Amino acid sequence: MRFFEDMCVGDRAEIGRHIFTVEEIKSFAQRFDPQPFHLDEAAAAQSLFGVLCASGWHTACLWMRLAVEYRHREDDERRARGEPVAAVGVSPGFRELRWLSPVYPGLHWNGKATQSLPHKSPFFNNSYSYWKIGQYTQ
Amino acid sequence: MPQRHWEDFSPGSVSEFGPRLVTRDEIVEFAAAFDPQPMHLDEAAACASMLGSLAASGWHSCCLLMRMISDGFLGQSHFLGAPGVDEVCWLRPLRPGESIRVRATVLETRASRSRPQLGFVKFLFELLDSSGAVLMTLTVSPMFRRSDATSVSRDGKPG
Repeated sequence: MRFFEDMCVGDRAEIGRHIFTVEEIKSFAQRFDPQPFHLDEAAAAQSLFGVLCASGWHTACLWMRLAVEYRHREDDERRARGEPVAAVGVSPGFRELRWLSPVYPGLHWNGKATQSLPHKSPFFNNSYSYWKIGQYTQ
Repeated sequence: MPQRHWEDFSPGSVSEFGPRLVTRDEIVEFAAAFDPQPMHLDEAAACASMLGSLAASGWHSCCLLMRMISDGFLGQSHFLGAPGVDEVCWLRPLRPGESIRVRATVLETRASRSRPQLGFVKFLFELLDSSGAVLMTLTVSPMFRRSDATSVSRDGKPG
């Protein structure tokens, strides 16, 4: 993790890629989001989505994993260069998560992260948070 | 029991779902799959973090809430998905062994302008611990079929 002072508004990073399979889409949905359009091809065909697609929570969780793995790689590189690694805090939440298009199985999805405006943390003194804007592109 | 349509949700109505016990094993398993930060995986690392002791990933809380409201009422409704989430606030950590409940409040209902067959219901969902403290709030506007709709369109767009 870079330090707060190293982060600039507008910084962009490609954080990783993931292919959603039918099996993992159904398995996630079974556990957390058991809607027919995430579990069954025939039901999905009759839904707004038209085709079986991943739970929006599944895509959000995969984005989180890509972001954490990206940060771990960044930390390893910093250590290899002999640079200090910043401690990670916690997040107070998020606003405006938008599921713009359905995530269908078998496609490559690239995670992106854009640094937006850092702001004073409402929860911890002398701590700053920043919003990450995540995006999958096909 | 008849399936609920958009018209069956009224602003101000409150319902509760749960309880559900959250175990240490499932917290660690979820974190390993989706949020592999040491503070969600390991007690010692969690003690050294802002969390103070092991706690669930905030995304895990979101997913548990989704499952509880699916079992609680979405599965018995003409639920059509949601275009996104307005806001999530992670207020307090979710610890292993906690028994959680969900309180659902209908904030407003709005017919879709572009799709006469559906409407939006804006909810405030609160994730509560056994003492009634709010661990997380989630504000979201899922879509439901209207009672007079003959079918929903299939143009592939969720919004």
